[in-house]
Amino acid sequence: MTSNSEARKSTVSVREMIEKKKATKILSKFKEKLVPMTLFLFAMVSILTTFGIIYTLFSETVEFFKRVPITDFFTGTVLRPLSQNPEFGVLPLINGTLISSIIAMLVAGPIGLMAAVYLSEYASDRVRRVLKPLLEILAGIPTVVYGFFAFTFVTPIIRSVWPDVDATNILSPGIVMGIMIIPMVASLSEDAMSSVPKSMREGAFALGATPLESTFKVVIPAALSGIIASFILGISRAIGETMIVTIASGSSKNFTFDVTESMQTMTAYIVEVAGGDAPAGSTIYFSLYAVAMTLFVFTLLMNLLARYVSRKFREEY
Amino acid sequence: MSLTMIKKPETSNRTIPNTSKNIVFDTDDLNLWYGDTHALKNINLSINEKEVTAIIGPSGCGKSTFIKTLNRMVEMVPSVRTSGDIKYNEKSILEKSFRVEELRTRVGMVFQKPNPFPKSIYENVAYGPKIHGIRNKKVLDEIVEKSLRDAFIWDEVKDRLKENAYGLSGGQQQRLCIARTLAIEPDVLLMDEPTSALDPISTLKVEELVQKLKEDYSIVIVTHNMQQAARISDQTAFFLNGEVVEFDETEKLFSNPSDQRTEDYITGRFG
Amino acid sequence: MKYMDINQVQKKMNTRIIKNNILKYIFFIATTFGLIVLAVLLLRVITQGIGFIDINFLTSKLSTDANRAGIMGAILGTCGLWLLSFQ
Ligand SMILES: Nc1ncnc2c1ncn2[C@@H]1O[C@H](COP(=O)(O)OP(=O)(O)OP(=O)(O)O)[C@@H](O)[C@H]1O
Ligand SMILES: [Mg+2]
Repeated sequence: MTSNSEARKSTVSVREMIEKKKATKILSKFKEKLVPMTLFLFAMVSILTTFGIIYTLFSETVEFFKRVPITDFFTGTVLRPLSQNPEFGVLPLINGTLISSIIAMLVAGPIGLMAAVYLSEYASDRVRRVLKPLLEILAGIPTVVYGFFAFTFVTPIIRSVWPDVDATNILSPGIVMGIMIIPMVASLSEDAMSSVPKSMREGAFALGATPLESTFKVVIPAALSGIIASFILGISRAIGETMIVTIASGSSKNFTFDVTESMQTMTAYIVEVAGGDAPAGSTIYFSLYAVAMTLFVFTLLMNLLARYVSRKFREEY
Repeated sequence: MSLTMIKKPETSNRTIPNTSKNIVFDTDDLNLWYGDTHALKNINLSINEKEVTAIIGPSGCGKSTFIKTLNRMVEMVPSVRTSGDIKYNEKSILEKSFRVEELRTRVGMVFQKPNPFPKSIYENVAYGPKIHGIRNKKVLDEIVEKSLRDAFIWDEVKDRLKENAYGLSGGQQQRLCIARTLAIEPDVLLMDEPTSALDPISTLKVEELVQKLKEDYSIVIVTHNMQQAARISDQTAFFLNGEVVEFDETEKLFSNPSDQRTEDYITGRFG
Repeated sequence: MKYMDINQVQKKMNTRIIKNNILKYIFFIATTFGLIVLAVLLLRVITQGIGFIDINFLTSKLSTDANRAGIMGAILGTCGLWLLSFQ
């Protein structure tokens, strides 16, 4: 009997506690909902901004294609926005963008990868801890500074050994862009390589491999997805780069494959047009959006490619 | 535990070691420090050719450190310092002039955790011969088949040589790693607890393998499993706190240890 | 049967080790290449720019007269943008 009543008593008190708890719970539940809500709102701000940008780009681009046929735009090799009878072929800009990016990656790819190999496979901990941050300073230098560096230092050096090169040319900003991208490639590749387990290297060394053989036949294949992703991000960076080319390559809209000549990239064109006084509503004003849209598609493709590659080449270990 | 259980069946007719056998490794007052940790203290061991030498001892006593010193793998830890001498076939290997690459092609190693490369089964085995300059596809094919057969894994993988090695089970991976080591035809095999991650059946297979390989290779094997040491080894060294407490014929060490600490350890009365 | 010829392996090992040592230096040079450029860049910016920086240059506003021109406006603008992006 006594035990029974005691048991009932205790269940009652437990129930009471649960009831009480519920009352306070409503408040804490509200709090728990509020936090994600706020965070969600913050996230929405950036997402909405992106959508806003895409919407503007898109609508203005459509307006542009009402005035200039889309085929003329994508197949035209002449870009003369300011002439009496203007022509809006985007190929010179795409060409300039690709050539400068290729030059940049020819510099940044090998040098960045070699630096990554040195830092991750050869350097001692102490050396790496000094060299890596120093190298990363390179990525933090404002691009305007690089632009002047290309124009006033690199171009004269190139011209002294190769006099055919024009005062404004695509070669010099391409190289300097590559230098700017080295730390990005080096640092991301180094991360990818250091995350390959130590046991892989031990396996190779135990078979009598030199560090070189363990690096190129085991570590790099295992880290390939990360390395390729770093290259693609480097290319995106080169495609989006503006100031260096604007300053050191001038604004001739040549359609040529001769790297000694001046060329213009998509971003440099946008800067030129936006900085000049293109009246709102004019064709040249809308051309800015069409070029920006093209650029956007380019970088988007690059990013998608990077994601695809880093999934596809992921080696399982 | 009854000691008769772990006695080796047919070793009674063996003669006294060291006189009839060639010595492949000989350490002379070997000391090793990791920074300030004195991990190996005055080790004097001689390892016989074409025999199995087992290293036993509690965790942290320096077993792995010892066998990693035999192929200078310890040098991958920057803080390592050594003193004393190790002679491999009469040559001092601790001198910087002795090239580690050369040492490691003669002294192969199998690790505690299977560590195949993230490549195909074929490429895993062919890696060693390839870096040592064998390019001929036919020869490589033969080496791969022979090594996989010797490691008792050929029948399980012969139809999937092009598949990634990480699709194999743990036991198969470990035998693949053994095959990979056999492919460079070393003289000595160092094995650091090769069966600690394996199930009883795979363990048995590896043990049989060790018995078989003994005909052609000198084997040093670290193990936590005393029955295993008793079953497969000819000589056993008992390590404690970086020192060799006792080193003797396996049968003698397990049936009639001369040191009290050895007896305590093998009868499970330790610390 | 032996597939690996000891003499062959020995001979190959020399070239392998030399190759490794040479490439090690090349990798090191590649790493320092970026640092050399960094040093040149800083050196140029400092040696060519330091003479023009004084307190007036930092505190006066933009002007068409080069002697009176300063970068106060630019500094304030940069800081403003900086604060804005931190929010
Ligand atoms: N890389 C290292 N740096 C510093 N100390 C180490 C390192 N590796 C091992 N040691 C120390 O050296 C001693 C011996 O370690 P070792 O790995 O040889 O032990 P073990 O006998 O193999 O143990 P286990 O049976 O657990 O594998 C231990 O005290 C350990 O802490
Ligand atoms: Mg161990």
